[in-house]
Amino acid sequence: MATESSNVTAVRLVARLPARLLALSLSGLIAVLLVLAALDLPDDAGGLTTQVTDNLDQSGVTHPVTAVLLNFRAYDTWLEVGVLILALLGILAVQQSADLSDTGALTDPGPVLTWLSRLLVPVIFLTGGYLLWLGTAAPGGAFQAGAVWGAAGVLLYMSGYRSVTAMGALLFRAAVLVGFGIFLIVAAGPTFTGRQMLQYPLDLAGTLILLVETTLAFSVAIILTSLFCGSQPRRSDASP
Amino acid sequence: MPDLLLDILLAVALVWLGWRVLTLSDLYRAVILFITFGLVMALVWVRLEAPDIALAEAAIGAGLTGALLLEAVGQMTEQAEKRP
Amino acid sequence: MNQFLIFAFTSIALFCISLYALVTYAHLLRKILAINIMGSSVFLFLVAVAYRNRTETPDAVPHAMVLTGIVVAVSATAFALTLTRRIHAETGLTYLPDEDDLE
Repeated sequence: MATESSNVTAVRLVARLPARLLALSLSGLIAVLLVLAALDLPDDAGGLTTQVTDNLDQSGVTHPVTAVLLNFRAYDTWLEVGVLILALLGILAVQQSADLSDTGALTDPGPVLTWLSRLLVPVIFLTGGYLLWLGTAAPGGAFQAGAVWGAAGVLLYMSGYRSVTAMGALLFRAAVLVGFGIFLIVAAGPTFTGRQMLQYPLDLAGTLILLVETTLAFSVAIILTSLFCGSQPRRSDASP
Repeated sequence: MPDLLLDILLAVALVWLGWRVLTLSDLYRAVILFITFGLVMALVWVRLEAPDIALAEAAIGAGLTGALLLEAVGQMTEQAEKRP
Repeated sequence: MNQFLIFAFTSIALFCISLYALVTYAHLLRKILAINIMGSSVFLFLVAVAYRNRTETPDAVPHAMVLTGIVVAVSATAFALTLTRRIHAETGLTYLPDEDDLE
């Protein structure tokens, strides 16, 4: 029988003792094997650092992580935004709604949170823009900027202001898809001029990366805010 | 030597936080310790010379995931208390 | 005991502790916490390997992989939390019931 109390957060359901011992011994075995593997790594250092530094000046940016993310492994970054969109679609499907217009914070935020968000959101906006611009030469880039802007969106939502929840259905879909769409155009464009997919022309590489990064950061911010707002209960579900 | 001591301290803090997150019976405290875990992890990224990942982990890993989890824990307790 | 080994052992310890917790505890929120910690421990191992492979700067390819991984982990967590809240709203339970295995 399950050990359960009326306070949901204090429930601690565990498996039976033989199952626990089996799980413990298997975890221990995996730990030993992984430790042996970690001690057994080959000694020649380098990884892919030499390849990255050799091709860095052809990539259009000067920061190696940004070059890897948006040029050498741009395919991964592109499909990662696809995963974000899929998660958002999953959330909307579970909540059985097409947009976020009927979510809203159900409790009063209070004066401190309202004042603080009015103070912080412009600063967060500037910080995100700075990180986006800085990504070509120093740590920063599209995902850091998108994450910081997404945090601003969540702060606005918690303070009662409407950001993502005020968008109409068409604008919402456009904002979510613009990052993936621009990346699609930039990725498929070279195939029309005889090159491979994602093979940027060398003189345009920096510009294309900046364009892709800007729309990507905007889309990622909208999606991250919507991931948060979409999980909230609908106003129509709230018990009277 | 002091660098190594800092690394050992961060490593021990990570393992202790991870263990407490998974074994605390009160989920509120577990989620708050999870946010702390994310922030200590951001410090570890800085120690391992990965500042881009530190930025992303602090914003997304600790901030957004922590907010999502806190909302979930709060919602599930509130609905339990409202039921007759 | 260099830096790589310290953080590699930390990541292995975190991975195995959270694997045990994922299998043993039935509360869905705890499982989601365990999956997040497992993900973070794998990222720690990747970045430790990148640090070990450094020449003058660390290896940038595992950094990019970990950035992608963090974003994918947060979207999976958001979806999992939505499903958990839906399960709780529909059935009132915070675990997937299977009375034979629980004590």
